Amino acid sequence: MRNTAVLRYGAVAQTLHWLIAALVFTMFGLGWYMSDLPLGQQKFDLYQLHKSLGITIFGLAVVRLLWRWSHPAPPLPASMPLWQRAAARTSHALLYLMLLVQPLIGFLQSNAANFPVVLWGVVPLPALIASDEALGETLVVLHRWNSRLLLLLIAVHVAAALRHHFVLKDDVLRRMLPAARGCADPLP
Amino acid sequence: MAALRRSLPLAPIALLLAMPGVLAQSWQVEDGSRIGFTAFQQGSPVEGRFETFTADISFDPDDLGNSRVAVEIDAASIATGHKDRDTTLRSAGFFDVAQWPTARFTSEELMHEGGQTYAAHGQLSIRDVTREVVLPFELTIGADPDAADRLLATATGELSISRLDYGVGQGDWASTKTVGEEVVIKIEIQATRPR
Repeated sequence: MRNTAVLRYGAVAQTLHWLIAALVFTMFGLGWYMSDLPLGQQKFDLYQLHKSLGITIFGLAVVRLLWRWSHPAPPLPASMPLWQRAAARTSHALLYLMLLVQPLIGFLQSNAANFPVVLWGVVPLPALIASDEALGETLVVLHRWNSRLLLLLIAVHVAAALRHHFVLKDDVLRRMLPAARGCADPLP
Repeated sequence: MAALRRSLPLAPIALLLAMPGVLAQSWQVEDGSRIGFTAFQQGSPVEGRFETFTADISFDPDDLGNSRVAVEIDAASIATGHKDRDTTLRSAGFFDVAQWPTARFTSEELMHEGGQTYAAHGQLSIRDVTREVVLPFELTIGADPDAADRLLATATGELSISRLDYGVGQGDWASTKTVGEEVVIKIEIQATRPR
């Protein structure tokens, strides 16, 4: 039975949100660290970890989107001006898009670079495109620049959440926090 | 009669008869030729090739005894479609091209197995290891479509080797968890000669 008045994100939405956030945070650290390593087994192993995590994030993002489609997000505070609502919707849409596009670019780069992608070392994933060394090099650059764009979007997202919480003092951030209980609890 | 026998020593004549005959006709290797391989990363195939090689081919299907194949491969010309991987393959952990720049195949005996099937028995040298191998191949010889006065021979063959047999994989790379032990060498040689 669906809640008729949803004022918070439910447990599934929250779990997916924070899990994806933690994994994305990890991916940045992993990506920067592994890029600087000298060629060798360790570098290879970390790249495989990065790829498997990236594909996992892609899968979780798909689940998150399907869940959101069937379990609508709580409405934004009534006091929020229209431009801010538009900004929120746009930035969230871009974040979702990023969670799908960045792993896709990475995967295509592996395909072009003639590197088999074996998910968690167990499931070989068929390549979507053929080997193409020059394209592979372009996709590396694209993946790197896109990650900077993602970082910018995350920075905006976090800044907005903190602004809602500390400046506007509304429930926007609280709705996504598992421990916080405001006046906006879901019906049992 | 006795004088003739004394003036024709038998030993040198016997040596002359025992010497191998003249090598079979020489073929010119064409640009469409390819020496490639399939390696396996975590069980999945990765295709690569050696872009630079030379082959001396003396071949006559009716005179296999005087036929020879000698291939020299520039190990540094390895190409798998990714610069860092190719650099790693050239390094001491794999081919160590600085120490052993050339891989070689030299035939010792060419045999006709029937129909278009042949086998080249010979020695394969990679790094500092030389081993006896047998490279089976399919051979067709016909008119050269690009030159009316020449014949075109196409030979395709595959040989599966263990890279560890040749020391290709040192230290961390001796483990087969990332790069499988088996590597399938795939050759496609196109060669022409005047009719």
